[in-house]
Amino acid sequence: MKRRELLAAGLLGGFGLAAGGARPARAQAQATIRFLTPETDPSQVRVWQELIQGFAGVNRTVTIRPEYASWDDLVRKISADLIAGAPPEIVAGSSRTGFMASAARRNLLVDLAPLVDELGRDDFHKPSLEAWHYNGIQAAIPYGMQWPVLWCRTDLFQEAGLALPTTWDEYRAAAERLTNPSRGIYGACFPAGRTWNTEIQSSITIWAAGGHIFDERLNVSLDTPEVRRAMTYYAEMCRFSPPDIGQYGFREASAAYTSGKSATTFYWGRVLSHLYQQAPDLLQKTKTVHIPHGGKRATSLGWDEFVVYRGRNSRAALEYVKYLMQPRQVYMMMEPVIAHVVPTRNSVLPMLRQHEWVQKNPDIVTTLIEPIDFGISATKESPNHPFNYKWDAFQARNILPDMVQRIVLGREPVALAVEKAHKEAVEATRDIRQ
Amino acid sequence: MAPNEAEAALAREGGASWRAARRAGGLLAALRDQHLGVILLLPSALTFLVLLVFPLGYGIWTSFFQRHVLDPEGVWVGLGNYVWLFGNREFWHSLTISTFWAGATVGLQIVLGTAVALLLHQPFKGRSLVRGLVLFPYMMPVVSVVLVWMLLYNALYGVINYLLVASGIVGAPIAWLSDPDSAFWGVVFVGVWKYLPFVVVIVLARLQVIPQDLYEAARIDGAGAVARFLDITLHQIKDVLLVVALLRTIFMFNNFEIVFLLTGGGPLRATMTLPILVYEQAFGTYELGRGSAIAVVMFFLLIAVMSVYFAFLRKEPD
Repeated sequence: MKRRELLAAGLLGGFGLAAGGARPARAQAQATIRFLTPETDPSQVRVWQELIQGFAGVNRTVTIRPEYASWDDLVRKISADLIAGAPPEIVAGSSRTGFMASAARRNLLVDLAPLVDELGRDDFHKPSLEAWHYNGIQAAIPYGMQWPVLWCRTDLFQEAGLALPTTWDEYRAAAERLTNPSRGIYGACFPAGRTWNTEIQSSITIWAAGGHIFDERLNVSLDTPEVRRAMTYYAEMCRFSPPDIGQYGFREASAAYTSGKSATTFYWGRVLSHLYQQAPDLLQKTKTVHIPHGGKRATSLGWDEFVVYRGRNSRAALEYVKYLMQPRQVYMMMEPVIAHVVPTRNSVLPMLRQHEWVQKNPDIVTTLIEPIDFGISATKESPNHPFNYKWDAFQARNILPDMVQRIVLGREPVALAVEKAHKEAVEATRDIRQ
Repeated sequence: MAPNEAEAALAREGGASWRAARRAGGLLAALRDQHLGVILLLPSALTFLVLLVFPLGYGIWTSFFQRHVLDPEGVWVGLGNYVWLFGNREFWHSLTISTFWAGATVGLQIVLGTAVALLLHQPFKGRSLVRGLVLFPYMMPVVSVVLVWMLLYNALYGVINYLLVASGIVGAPIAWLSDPDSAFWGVVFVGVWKYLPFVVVIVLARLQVIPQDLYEAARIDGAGAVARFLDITLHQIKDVLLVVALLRTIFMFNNFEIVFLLTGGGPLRATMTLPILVYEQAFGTYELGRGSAIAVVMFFLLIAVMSVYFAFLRKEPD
């Protein structure tokens, strides 16, 4: 009997302690902000930590908790958090315009227009702000913009007596000449993994051939001569790419170049920091050119941006975004990956141009930081296209990477693979309503 | 006193003590006395309900909805997701891949694991050290295992390709995980390597308790090594192997991380197992209902496998 009473008393005591113990903790509670980003280079992570510490110095009631995900897994991570009812308060750098547009439509995002006004709307690159304006709200604040270029090993081009390519035909001829498997060197680096990188690269190839993925009425337009031509070219270039491109995403495409295995690669400016960190001897042997064109010049235009999800700590999250968007902080974010991202705030540009890497490597950075007029966003394939609200559903099904894999790895005839992709895209977007 | 009378007396005594307790300490004390056992069981029961029954029920419930990740309310579609599933070629393809994946990994783990356990059962110098080292793959985190094997398999700087090319066995590096023909076996090999120690440890433990006089008797009867292995060793470890086969089948059929991290289900869906298809539906295309429907089918498939196993056990004589 005594033992039973003791047990019961212990249980009651335990509950009491738990209930009572929670009270003082609640009294001291701070707002904790989850900050999710795919920018996970060690140098970039160091900057995130510095910024968090800097913010802690000016705001003691908000704690920032950084979380990291790969570029390919970012949206999946956000999706899982949304299902759990606990999205991160801030997402930094995703460029998933379709996904964000869906989130804006469902009222999951905080309108950042007042913050843009507070920061000074005139200081921003206007088209970048407009690209993130959905459903009547400023769904994100882009702090940087970027486009891929072609990274070339000038020593290998010179050795083969080749000029850097500007057209598809020149590039194909150069890639074939430069490919030498016995030396472990490949002329090109066209990805064929089921990855976002493959999707972007195949999109660029389609646009450069004069094709579109959706027409101006947002009907799928994959099964066209332009797309078949683009995919034929893509498959040819894969022959001059490393043997394991079937797994290539962003990291592998950059590593193939910095490791000296690939004489060229499509990539954004981040390769510059990779070269400084991993292969400084290649800096003097590298030059970038804009992506060679087929029928027309085209490249993919993307952004790094802050998105704030609705939640009880949204106000505190806005405070942190405001802190991050100050010119000095924006410059800090760009410093580890100079030339990878061009600031959308005009007031940051002079700082960027003073950077040692920019001054020392004009052959590399010019194509990366000088504004272009042939950048295309997947959700708006031409000035005549409306915002593509179907892109999210199309992208989620990996239709372009699957098409590339069928052609490159499965040796399926281009016409058949394109026709299948077209049908899949029609099926995937049939029930999508604005 | 007859047994019935004794029970009646006890009941009367109980009633009396209840009444006495009410008189002495009030209703609360009496309740506490009578229901303490139930109260003490409640935390376990609640934990079971919250962690097992609720997620399972919620998963089944979700499978009756068309539910987008950004629209968790969803639309009731009844058995619509199951109709879609059974008419979907990708589902049948993934079911086939999952079956082959589980079959190949479990089969190889059992055959190789038993062989290694038999070796480690023999006396030799440094046996304890080797027994410890064999556990190494099982102790490594899956992410580390995958990273190591991705490097080993790498076409440009992987050791395997380097050795194959340097020794002239192949002319050019093989894209082990990017080629639809080799990716499946590349992944199976890692699955076997990682979980082999589980089988080794269990079989070795069973081998150590087989009575030695059985072998002596067999020797006296003139049984050779093969006969002794088949009639004594295999017979003695049979039950353990069945349990191992069941556990490993459940585990490998549900295994997600090895395949996902190595190939993501590719290339060309050559390694698209059912758990990856669930993930793809839920977090790739954001169709939670369809993802749940596949998970529910997987659950019932494994229940079916377990039923076969238990039916088999029941038929076995002691």
